[in-house]
Amino acid sequence: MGLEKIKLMSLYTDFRKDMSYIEKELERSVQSSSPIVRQASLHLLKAGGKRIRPIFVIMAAQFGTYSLESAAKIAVSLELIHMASLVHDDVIDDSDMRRGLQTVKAKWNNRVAMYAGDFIFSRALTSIGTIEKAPIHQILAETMLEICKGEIIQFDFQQQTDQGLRDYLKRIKRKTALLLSSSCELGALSADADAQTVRKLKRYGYFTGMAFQIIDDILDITSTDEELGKPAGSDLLNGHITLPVLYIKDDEQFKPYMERAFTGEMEEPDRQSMLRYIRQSGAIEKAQHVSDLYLTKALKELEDLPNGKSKKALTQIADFIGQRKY
Amino acid sequence: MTVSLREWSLLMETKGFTDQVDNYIHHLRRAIYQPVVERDAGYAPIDRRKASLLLLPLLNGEQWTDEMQTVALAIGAIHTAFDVHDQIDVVDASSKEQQLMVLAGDHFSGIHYKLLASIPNFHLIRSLSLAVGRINECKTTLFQAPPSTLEDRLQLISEVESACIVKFFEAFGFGRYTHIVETIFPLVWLLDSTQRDLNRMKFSHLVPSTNDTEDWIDQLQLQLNNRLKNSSYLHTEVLAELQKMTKP
Repeated sequence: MGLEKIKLMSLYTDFRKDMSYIEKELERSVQSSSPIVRQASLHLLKAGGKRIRPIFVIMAAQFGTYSLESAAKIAVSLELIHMASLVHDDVIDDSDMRRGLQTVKAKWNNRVAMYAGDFIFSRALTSIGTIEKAPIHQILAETMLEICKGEIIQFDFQQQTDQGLRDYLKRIKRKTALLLSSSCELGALSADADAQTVRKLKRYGYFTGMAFQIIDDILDITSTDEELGKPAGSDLLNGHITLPVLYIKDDEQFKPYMERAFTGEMEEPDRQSMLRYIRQSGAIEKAQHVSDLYLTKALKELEDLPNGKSKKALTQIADFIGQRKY
Repeated sequence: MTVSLREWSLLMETKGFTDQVDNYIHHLRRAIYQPVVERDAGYAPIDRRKASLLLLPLLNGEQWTDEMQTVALAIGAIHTAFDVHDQIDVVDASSKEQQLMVLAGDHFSGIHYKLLASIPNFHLIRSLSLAVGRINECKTTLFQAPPSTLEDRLQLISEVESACIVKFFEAFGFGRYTHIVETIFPLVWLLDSTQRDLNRMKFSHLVPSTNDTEDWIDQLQLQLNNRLKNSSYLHTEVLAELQKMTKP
């Protein structure tokens, strides 16, 4: 386990029992009569992850009448939806490595990845299907469709250099912030928290999610290949313009790098040189500033919520997101 | 996204079998519409035969409610998602069209859930999710490690194609139609293998030798005919359509 993940896990201390229950439920959820489907699903599950969606559900549910069983169903569902999308994303991006392990599509093939992703998604609905509260399903369904829409828009924007900050923010909202926002909202709703609390937690999740994705995009440039478990600069190599790149894309000296990245004509020294150029341009600091603004807003949403271990942990998570190194 | 029961009933009264299926496909297209997908990847493939079998109770004059109509559209959406994902190349999905098809399939799955959640029918969210899970297990088995006997393979193909429809029939008291769809799907798969371009068929790598195919077509046709003979509730027009569908 990486140092960063250990740091994050240490923030979950008060919820260790709950998270351990969710981990077991996740494993149980992807059990399958097909050995290949089981192996493919467990392969990704065992590779770990920050489990930020489940922890948000658990923490948000503490602001109402908490039931681990009920919150866990939502937490498992959200994590499985996230996992299923990763399996399919690896097919789209033709990625061989994720979290330092071979991807499902690399270990088996594209078709197994498609079926495994669809299987994991079905299990997400099996988990949440036992909760008979219409708003929970309607919010989740809407969130899922928005995420898909975001991916389709991202696809449409691939390699388009005439995009602005608004386009980028809309994209990361759908890509990351919505699911984190829904994690908090659904967690609170599962515990019948009052409407104002639900709204504040939903907004906390949204702002934190925006910051989380911006930091992720920064780390794609500032981290090493080893830290990332994939080549640094992968976003740009896959045609995605992220916030740091948005700040530098009109720089005449940078343009040729971007063209070579998009056309797949980028050799290893060239990639390193491109990464150095972005790192020294000031674009990283500008992007970090935007992330900080979102985190400030996230923390503001927590101000009026009752003090307790959950509020403390949500505050620490926001701080962690702003400072994480990979 | 959905059509009212009144609108639907009026249409059904005045239109025949073909028009009813066309009308359903029209509404399904509207429900799953996504502008970028349609612009760059064209119309999503909607399996007309599968749609007809899903609508079998309606076509046979059973009472059809708004809820059934919404669930039928949800199942149409997930079937389309499956069909799109089945077209992803095993090795190379790097083309723009293939990438978009991955996303399109996920979008159609999302529509499926949204329609069920809009009712909301919690029982069907659960039972269809289990069916979708099972379908993907069967598809993986057929693709990576198919069973050795043709009988077992046909059984899995039947499950892949009919599982969601069967759940739908069970949920709304149309269980008597179940055996028909379970028998028709493997039969039409075998018939397709004798008539279609194999490259355009699902599970083309499992197509048996000509002799085995003919034997199994005879066997399944006999089985289907016996079932149809005992299904006195089927209207003549529906019976004729089913026979046309399974004619060699």
